[in-house]
Amino acid sequence: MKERELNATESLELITRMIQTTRQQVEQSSHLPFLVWGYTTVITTLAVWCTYTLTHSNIAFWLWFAIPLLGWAAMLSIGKKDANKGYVRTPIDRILSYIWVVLGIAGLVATMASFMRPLPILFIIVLLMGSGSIISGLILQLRAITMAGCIGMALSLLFLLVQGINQCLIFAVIFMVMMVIPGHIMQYKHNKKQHNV
Amino acid sequence: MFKSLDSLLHSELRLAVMSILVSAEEADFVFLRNQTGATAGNLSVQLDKLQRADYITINKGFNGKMPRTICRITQTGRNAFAAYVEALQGYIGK
Repeated sequence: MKERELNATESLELITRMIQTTRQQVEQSSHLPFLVWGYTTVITTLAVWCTYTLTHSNIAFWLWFAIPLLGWAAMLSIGKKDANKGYVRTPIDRILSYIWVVLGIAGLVATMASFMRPLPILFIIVLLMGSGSIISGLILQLRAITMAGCIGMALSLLFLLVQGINQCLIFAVIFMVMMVIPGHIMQYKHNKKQHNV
Repeated sequence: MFKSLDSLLHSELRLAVMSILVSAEEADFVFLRNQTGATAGNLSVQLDKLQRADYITINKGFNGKMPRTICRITQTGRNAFAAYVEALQGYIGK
């Protein structure tokens, strides 16, 4: 692209094309946080369940803190890998990041509190993250994300039926449904759109 | 009567940059270069012109150890862009 004058039609076409390609670039990586945080949570939860089932030691619960550590490490690593694509942030990205940071902090505070007082922590986390998924889906106008958040919240009622360490298994299933599956759906839809272009 | 077109925006590269920054809140130099396909030198010159007109702001910083130049559109730039699109529609409509 050079410094040349355009006629009115060319100008409007250029504006439309630039806005569309910017939007596509933003959409291209929108599934990554869902996959990163989804898989990190599922793997850590199964690690907690396995460790506790084998050792019966409460030390297993400290593994929960692997979720923020592994999640942020993976996000930073992806960010570095994609550095050659450049950085862009839309107002929607900013709003979504505020929502998830606030919900993440609330989840972290609740997790720390659960070490001091008995709390239905997995139920609280699912409600917080389910709210995040529903809000994200509504803002992004992605029905798969909204539906996944609703299903996750509905499945949280299973915590009333199952007690003890086996609640971890329900928690892992809910995160598969709420984060991992919609992340893959978004990725599939994006790849299909790219293939059709 | 046709409205006159803003000469600063009536250039392919500057218009492309402004179109990207209107839809994105902020973008770095690498993203703008990839999207427009412009050379680094030409893009730098055009960004400087937009900045001098107060259409965009440019902040130079670092992402880890890598230097990063982040561009944002200003309210003046948004108003100019809206007026430009309105003028274009007048040309096409008549």
